[in-house]
Amino acid sequence: MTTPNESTSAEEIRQNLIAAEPPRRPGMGKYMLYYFRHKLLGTVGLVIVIVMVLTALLADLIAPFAYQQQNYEDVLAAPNFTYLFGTDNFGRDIFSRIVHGARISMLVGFLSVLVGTGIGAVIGLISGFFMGKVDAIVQRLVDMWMSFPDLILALTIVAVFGNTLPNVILAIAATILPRGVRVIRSATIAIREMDYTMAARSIGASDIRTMMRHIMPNTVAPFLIIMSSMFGTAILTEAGLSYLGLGISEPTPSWGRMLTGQAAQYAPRAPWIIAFPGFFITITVMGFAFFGDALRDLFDPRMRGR
Amino acid sequence: MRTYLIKRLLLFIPTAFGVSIFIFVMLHTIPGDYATALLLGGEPGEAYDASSEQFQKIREQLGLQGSLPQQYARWLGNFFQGDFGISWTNRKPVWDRMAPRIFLSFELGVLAVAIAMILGTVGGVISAVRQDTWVDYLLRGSSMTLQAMPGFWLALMVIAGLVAIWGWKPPIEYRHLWDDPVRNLSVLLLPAFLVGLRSSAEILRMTRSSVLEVLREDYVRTAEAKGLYRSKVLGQHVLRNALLPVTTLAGFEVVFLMSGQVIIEQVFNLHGIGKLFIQGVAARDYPVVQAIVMFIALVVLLANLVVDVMYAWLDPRIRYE
Repeated sequence: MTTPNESTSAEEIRQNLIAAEPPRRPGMGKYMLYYFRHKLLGTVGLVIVIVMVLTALLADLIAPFAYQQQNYEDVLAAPNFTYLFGTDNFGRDIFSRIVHGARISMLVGFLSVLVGTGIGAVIGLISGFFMGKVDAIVQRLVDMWMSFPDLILALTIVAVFGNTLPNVILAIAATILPRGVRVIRSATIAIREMDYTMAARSIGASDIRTMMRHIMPNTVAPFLIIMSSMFGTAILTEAGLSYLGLGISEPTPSWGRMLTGQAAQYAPRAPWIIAFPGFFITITVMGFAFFGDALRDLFDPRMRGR
Repeated sequence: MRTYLIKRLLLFIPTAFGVSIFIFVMLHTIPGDYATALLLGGEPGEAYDASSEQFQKIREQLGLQGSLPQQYARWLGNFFQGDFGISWTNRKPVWDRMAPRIFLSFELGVLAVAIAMILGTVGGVISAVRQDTWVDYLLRGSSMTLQAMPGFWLALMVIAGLVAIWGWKPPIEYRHLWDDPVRNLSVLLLPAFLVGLRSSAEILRMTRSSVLEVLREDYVRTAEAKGLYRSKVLGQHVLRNALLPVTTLAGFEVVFLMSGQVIIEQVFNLHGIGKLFIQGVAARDYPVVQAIVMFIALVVLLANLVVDVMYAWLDPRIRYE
């Protein structure tokens, strides 16, 4: 009697291996299907995100009125078929203003998160990879940075540089940066201990090569997660700045600025003035949070299938 | 405990210095000599005679003479002596503008933290004990919603609702707590509640997961197996262990809460530090901004110190690490 081991030569094994179908990675469609089926909240979040992005891109097509158009015969009109969300104290259509406001929120949200987490990721990667002194210094700096409340830091930066669009984006990015550092640093430290990193280093890969080819690609998942969960925070900070009158000083309406000034005085009589902009901030922030949570669950194998 | 205290204090001092350098540098990256130009009545960037006597005098008043390190040393020295500089908007000492407002903001903050901790821990424990029932879903759902809401919007909606339904009038007159506690609380309780409510969401989440974790521990099963009442198991075995890590959150909460507080002072028109800060930012009154940012950062660092020490005192494992 022969065991399979005895009858198969090394050459045969090689042949079998070549003949065998390579294990297929599940395609994009399968992932999507899995996502929709198992992540109900995540799907809701994704839908909200897509709707908001489309609204921002197609604002001119969607909005029935120009955002600055004042209809004096319809001041403080309640929501109706002409003015879906009513009008404000200047007779401006609130729906149109919200649609245009999505632009500022999406733009500021996206760019500030990209800049903040991007720079944070680079610092985190370096800090986690080299450890030792560099890491200790970076971590102390991050601690200091995080002892400033978000809004206070953003307001200070706006105070110094002025409230133009790029400055507001930088100010919000600055509040996100330290969190990016933390997340990517801890991911880097974990990946650093992996066998494949060790293998790369043992065959003589340089620091830069190890970082770029072996560690960085593996931090993409945490990077995407922190991006989507910070998006909501960025939108909230932007709304806060705008509400205080220190956000972007451009004619385009932003959701936060729609709540400021006289809006509060008219609110008891015409609640739609403040109800809708705030509702849209909330729903958008929620959408990004749900999406981020679902992403985290998907990328974390321990959570998969739950 | 003593070595831990000393170690923790030694960490506090360099951090505080680092923060002060950070703030100083940030506020001295103002493009151009904006300050001086502003004071001379010109636009920033406008040419002015830098050698004139008047110009030098103004620079001196603003503490802008000498090199940057000299300026920093002078600013920090003055700061610790209670001299926060001169406000550019009304040329009064910054400290005189801050002092009458500190108590209000402090009281508001303490009330808000207390409310956040109480709501968050109670809600979190209920949510964990009733895991996967409608109570749990309701609590988690509302805490998720609260986290996504801008705090000022919640406040605006609540005020509008109160005014529309009950014809409520926001109390205007503020009195000091010691003079008229009832009136003082009637002004501060609602804003403190709103700030606290929003901050309680994160505490609720933490408490819930912490309690759920402890509920799975062996010693809890043992306690139940030997026939202890559910309430006793919860009170003596679960909560004691589960709520410990939550106390560390109080430090983060202070940071998070301050952002909310700055805005809520604006919404309710409370004359606290936050409102002064916003006025300072809007008027680009740098000495005011600089002093308040430094002040807030110190409060945050101190709060974190207190929380860490408290945690070590409550949990012996920390001190012996």
